[in-house]
Amino acid sequence: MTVQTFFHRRRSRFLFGFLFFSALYYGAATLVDYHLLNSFQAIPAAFAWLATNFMPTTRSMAFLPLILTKLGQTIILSITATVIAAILALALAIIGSSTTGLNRATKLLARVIASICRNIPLVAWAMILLLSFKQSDFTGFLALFFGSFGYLTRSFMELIESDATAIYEALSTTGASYLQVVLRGIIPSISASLLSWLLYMIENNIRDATLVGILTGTGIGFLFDLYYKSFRFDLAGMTTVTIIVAVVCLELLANQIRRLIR
Amino acid sequence: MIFQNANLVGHLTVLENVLHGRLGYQSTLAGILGRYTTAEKETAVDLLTQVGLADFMYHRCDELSGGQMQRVGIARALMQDPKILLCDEPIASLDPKSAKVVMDYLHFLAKQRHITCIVNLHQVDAAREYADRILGINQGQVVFEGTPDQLSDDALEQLYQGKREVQHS
Repeated sequence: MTVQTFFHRRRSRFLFGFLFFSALYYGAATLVDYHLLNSFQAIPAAFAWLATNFMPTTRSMAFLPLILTKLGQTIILSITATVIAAILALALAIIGSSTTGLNRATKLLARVIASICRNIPLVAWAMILLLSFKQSDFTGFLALFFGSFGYLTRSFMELIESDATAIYEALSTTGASYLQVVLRGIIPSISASLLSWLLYMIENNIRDATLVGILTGTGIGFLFDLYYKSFRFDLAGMTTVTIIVAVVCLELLANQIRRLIR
Repeated sequence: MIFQNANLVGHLTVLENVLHGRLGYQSTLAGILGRYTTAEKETAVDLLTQVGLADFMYHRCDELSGGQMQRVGIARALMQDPKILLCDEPIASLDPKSAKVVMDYLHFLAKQRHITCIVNLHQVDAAREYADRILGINQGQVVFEGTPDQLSDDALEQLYQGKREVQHS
């Protein structure tokens, strides 16, 4: 194969890929009768409608205290669920990671639990738990807890395996006991990454709490759902704005904390 | 035990890493709480002074250079009061100058405390300079055994030649 044929093949392969995906899009669009240009033309009108209807009015200001209270509750609920999930996930990750795992059984157990919790979508958790725990804050808490727990366990296990294997080896050779190695070596060496994951998960959960709230009828999600379904769009709009402001503020705060802990 | 990449806890200070050498002598509870005796702390400071890192005591280990980290590794190993030191390629990932500093400290401290030091090296010059006795190992077989003076160029060539031939086959 000469250099020319190599690059020629590269080009033809790219061309083939491009044509393939174009055909795929065209076929699909024809099938469902979708017109790209028309849908883009509809966007300005849709936004204009959104702006006029969802714009908070003076009337909606009276509802601000209620919205903020609910928002506060939702944020605290999300933080609680995430922190508890993180503590338990760390314990499970330590006894389950391939580096620090106690034995085969715990390693398997950790992986199975993490994958079950992670692979059930948050929405499904909320719906399932709603049936057994009824419409309460606790249902929302549990839904967020299970989702974060699975995700964090998996991440923490990978973190330990990649960052703490050398430390585990080094401290084990000093004759330190398992608990000493974990608490003096493993946890300090991954602490900054642990906190970073925790902050990320809190940010995520505050966003997700809104969705869970819509499903389980609690917190800020419930308020949004209520206003939306009773056509009080100005209030629904204001609820959305407060959520966005809160999430952005928390993200900025989290970034500051991340910079400090390094 | 001394490792190729020192294997220190980067987020902790130099002093804390040296004190880790005492964990094996402590009760589990004291180790978990990180409680070290005054004597242990004094020994740690003393060892750090001997490896020339007293000024870096309160620095985090991830701020140190490779050679400095390895010296902390030596202090941590000596903190265990060992009879034998096992060193797994201690200078493999260091530049020649830092490598010399690390080997000098290792040699001096091991001699001073009468500690047997088993070091595996790929740097033949370092082996010649510091070792009392050299073993050449090829494919798990000891192919050379003797003092640095006995390690002639011929013997060396045989050692590495053999390796090359085996790799080719």
